[in-house]
Amino acid sequence: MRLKVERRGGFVGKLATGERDVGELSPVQREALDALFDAPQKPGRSPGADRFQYKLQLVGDGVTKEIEVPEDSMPDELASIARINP
Amino acid sequence: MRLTTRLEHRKEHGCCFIVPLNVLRTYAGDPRLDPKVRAKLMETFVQTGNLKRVREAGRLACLTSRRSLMPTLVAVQQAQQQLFDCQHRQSLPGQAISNPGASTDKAVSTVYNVTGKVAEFYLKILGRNSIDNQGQDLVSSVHYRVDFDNAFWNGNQMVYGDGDGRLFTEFYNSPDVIGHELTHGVTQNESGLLYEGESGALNESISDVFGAVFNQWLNGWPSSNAQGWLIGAGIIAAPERAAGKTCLRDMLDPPADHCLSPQPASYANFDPTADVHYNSGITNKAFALFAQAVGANSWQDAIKVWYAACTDKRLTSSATFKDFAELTLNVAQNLAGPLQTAWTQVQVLP
Repeated sequence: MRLKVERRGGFVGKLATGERDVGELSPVQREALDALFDAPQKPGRSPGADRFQYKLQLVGDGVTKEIEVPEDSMPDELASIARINP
Repeated sequence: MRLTTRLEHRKEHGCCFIVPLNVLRTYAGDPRLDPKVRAKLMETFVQTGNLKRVREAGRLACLTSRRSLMPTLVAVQQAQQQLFDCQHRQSLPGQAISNPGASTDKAVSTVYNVTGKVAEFYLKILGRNSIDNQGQDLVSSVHYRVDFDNAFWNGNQMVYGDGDGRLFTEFYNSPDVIGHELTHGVTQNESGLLYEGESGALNESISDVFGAVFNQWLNGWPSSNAQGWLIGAGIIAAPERAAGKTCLRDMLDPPADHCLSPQPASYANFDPTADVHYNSGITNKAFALFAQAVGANSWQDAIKVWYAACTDKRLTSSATFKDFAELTLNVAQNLAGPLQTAWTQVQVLP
């Protein structure tokens, strides 16, 4: 199972991406990931302007699960996976 | 009189302080709530704060038996700054800093000093009293999260990250970035341009325009100085500088190779699927062309046309580039000639 993280927006406005094997995530990252996908109500966008918006995909076994996560709800442990490739 | 009108408005709609301001602010920023509910909570937060100030003015007026003091006190209320240190954590606003002007932390002192200059720019050049034109306090947080490559306005305050050192340095290092973020608060209080499509790109462009002109005013740069049209020139990290990147965006030359984030320079290249920070290059260029055609300093005439349009009640939250262009022409008076040329050059108007 692969985790794909995509980040859009921010003052910079450039796409940032990254991916990891879920099995390689640290316990803290895995816990944060489970909490985001298990959340009963998916949050919208963070208020204001120049905010980041994340898209997380879990891909594997012919199945893709996807959620949108606003900056305010994105834990540092997972946010750091997405990087800008200039 | 504005005070009378506002008091009558409160009487009509009713208002009480049963919900503390901090609770209103917290829920207004809660992403789990419906955006419409959050907008109402934010409106209540702002109006309650204003009413508290009016009430305090009334209290002081009664104490001094001078009713004429009331409008005076409300009119001259000056914005105070509040600075917070997030200590690289995620929660806002962070740890309050008691005397930011005397801080030895470069982030705190820079944000405090430059934010004060942005407020001065708005007051002296545009006659605006802070974000809401009523002396709203200016709240900023620094050291947000870890290696955070962003600065933003969260609906209530400005927030600055320290950058990752690979692409970006500290985001407060460019004065135009601080002007940009504060201007998002002004736009929220005026047209409320929706953060998507053309209105979203316009929202972003307006922040770049006022941020850049503030930077020009701060440094005494005339509109002919190309340096004054760079956005984020101070936040590019050494590796990117070595690779030839001198800024994030260039309002005068949006597609230039020296931009870390190149943009289109013509409406013919508008991309409806792109981020709002991409298409903003089109209206950025229109302003830069207009300001250079007017000559001398951008803050003397050109920015006043933009400000008049941005605060005009005819500017709706869903305005398109064309709507905005036509409005600027409507308020430009004797500058309409070079302005029409600028809008034509970027192909927003024929």
